[in-house]
Amino acid sequence: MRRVVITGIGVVSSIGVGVAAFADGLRAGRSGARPIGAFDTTGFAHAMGCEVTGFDPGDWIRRVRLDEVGRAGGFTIASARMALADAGLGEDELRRRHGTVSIGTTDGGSDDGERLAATAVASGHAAMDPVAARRMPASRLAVGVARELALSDVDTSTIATACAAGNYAIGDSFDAVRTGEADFALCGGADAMCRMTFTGFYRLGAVDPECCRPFDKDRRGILTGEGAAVLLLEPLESALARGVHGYAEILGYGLNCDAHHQVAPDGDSVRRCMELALDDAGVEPGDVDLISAHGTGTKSNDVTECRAIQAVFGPRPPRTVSVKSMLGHTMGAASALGTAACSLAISRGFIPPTINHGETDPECGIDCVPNEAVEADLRIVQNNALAFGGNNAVVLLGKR
Amino acid sequence: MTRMTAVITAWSAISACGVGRAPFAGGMQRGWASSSVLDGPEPGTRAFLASAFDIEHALGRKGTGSMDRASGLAIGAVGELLAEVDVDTGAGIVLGTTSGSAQTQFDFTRDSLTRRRPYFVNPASMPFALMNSAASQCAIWHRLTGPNTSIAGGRMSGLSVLRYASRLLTTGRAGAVVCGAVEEYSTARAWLERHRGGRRVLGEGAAMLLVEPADAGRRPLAEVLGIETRIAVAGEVAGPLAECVRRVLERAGVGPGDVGAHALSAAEGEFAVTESAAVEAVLGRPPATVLSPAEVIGDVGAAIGPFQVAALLEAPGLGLATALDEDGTVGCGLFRVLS
Repeated sequence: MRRVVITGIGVVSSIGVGVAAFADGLRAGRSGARPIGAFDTTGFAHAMGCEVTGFDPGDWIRRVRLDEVGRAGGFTIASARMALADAGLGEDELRRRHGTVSIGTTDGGSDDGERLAATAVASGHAAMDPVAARRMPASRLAVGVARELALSDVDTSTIATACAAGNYAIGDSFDAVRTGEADFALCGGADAMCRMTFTGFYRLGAVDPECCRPFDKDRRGILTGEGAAVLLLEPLESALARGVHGYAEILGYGLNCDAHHQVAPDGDSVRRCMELALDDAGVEPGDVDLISAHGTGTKSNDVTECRAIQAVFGPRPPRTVSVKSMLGHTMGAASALGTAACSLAISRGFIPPTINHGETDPECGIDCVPNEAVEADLRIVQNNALAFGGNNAVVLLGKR
Repeated sequence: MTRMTAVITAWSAISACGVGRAPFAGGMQRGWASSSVLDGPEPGTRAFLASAFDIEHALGRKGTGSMDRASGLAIGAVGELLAEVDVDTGAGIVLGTTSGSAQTQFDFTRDSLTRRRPYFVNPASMPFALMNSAASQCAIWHRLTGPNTSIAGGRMSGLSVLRYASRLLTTGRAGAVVCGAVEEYSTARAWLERHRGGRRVLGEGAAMLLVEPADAGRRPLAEVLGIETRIAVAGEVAGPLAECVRRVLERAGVGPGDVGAHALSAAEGEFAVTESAAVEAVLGRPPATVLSPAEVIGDVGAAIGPFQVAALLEAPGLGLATALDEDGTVGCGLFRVLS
């Protein structure tokens, strides 16, 4: 099996576009929360979200027709282009290698889908926009990257495993490169703000009126967010051959399914998933320096996840942060943004804080690095992802 | 490129042919299945509905009140499979889809837009609106705790899930994978397909393949010799598809003359012509057996892939399954079907 390193990172997020701005935002503990403008929020008592502002897909997309690319697709292509530039690899070099493009998503083109539904409700099905109907299928996310970069010899997959999809895509790409099936991977996750997601969580009473405060005793839920992160993975040897050090090494990952409940996570199964990842990476729990939690900020997620962490790591687990405090819940992009954040934390030697933090919920019982980033030499970092449907995936990164 | 030692050891299907293997095999032999007359607000007048499958009848009332039809079909098809083989609870499930249940998503948005408050929606339907609903529901119903992955692969889904599942076996992340795809028929999907330019008669269904390592001990029905996919970046698809066929044969060490069967993904029209032409170009002749499940069960979208493989399982020898999607992906799988 080959060793696999992350040599490029591209990010579109509510706290910054591009790896430098994203890293600065994480270090500064910037909040991406703002009033939602992506859809009409009339009738909702509150509507804060972590929207990406000032993003123009036309700045990034050169080959694919702009009207064939939805909002999440634009985030994905932009992030892929950034990751490539960040890694110092040209498109021509990629075209000479066999690769894989794998993008995780919760909603795919559902923002287009719900606008089509709105048209159908108002004016009948026949009035729906055919251009939007064509660009809606989620497969367009991964295929869009390949078409934009003119990569014909790549395997593409859009992984639709809800809010853990980013880690699923990164994990599968890690395996593809590790086993020698692919010589590079562009992988990550993307989602655009959807009215449906916001409405569903709102109806469940799981949207915080102001900000996302994971692990806080007064937490009230998620803020929905949007964005993308794409990582370029390469075998260690080929990175070294080009004189590239890389951000971090992927040490292993684990995935499993609760097979228990649609929306309530099963702590014991989450524990097993972390153990699968540690085992795959050949890492002892005591060697993990930092956990980037799924940490949505809902009452039930945070307690269940923290208890599972304690079941693996003991009563004093490693520092456990939630970047969703800054980015909101970006759905399929969330764990990809989390893995990107962990890579930056390792390579730049800091722990991103859990912002909006007042007092830690004693039931969580973790050090969430409240409000201020801290400097730290991190050797091994774990990134958790949990999804509706009981789909879990955990990625472990090591210092290069 | 994927080299594999994965084998297919069992399969199941639900379609317009009926529930189970025998009705599908019979439908393929006969060459047709009954379609249903539509009298609702949909654009077409007929569809190949899986009328023999009723969610409440098959799964009971508990937990199915808000369930999307795609999840129900998938649970039913996995149930058919597991009724005949013992599978470890750590087995994985990998399912393909286009966009999940378009109707459930549509209904959710309609309720939000038309009720007195925008949040007067049915919260129970939300998880069924997500694209991972079918796979995760199958895990819950059948208690399978292994890797559980949904791939939005459109008509490439069959090849995508086989490749993904083989990798899970290679890396030891699962000892067996239930691998399939599902598509429901609904008014919402019919209109979306119509606006995408689709004129084929739609169908619905789910088909599952049990994929295991060659040394798992169960008698294999077929070996998965290879999967090749490409992106037609220049727009033209025949060339890239032929390239996939050439490469899958070359990498498996199979001569063009040895291939006896070809299962198409498209029922008719430009795509079907392209698939046949690409295979004939590489083989230098038409294959002895050409199978077109979509002509029997309709355009089942993402679900066609595992139905193609199921059709090939009735034709011992070397067989190819090709696939094309409107998104520009092309690919093929090569199988050795054991008699």
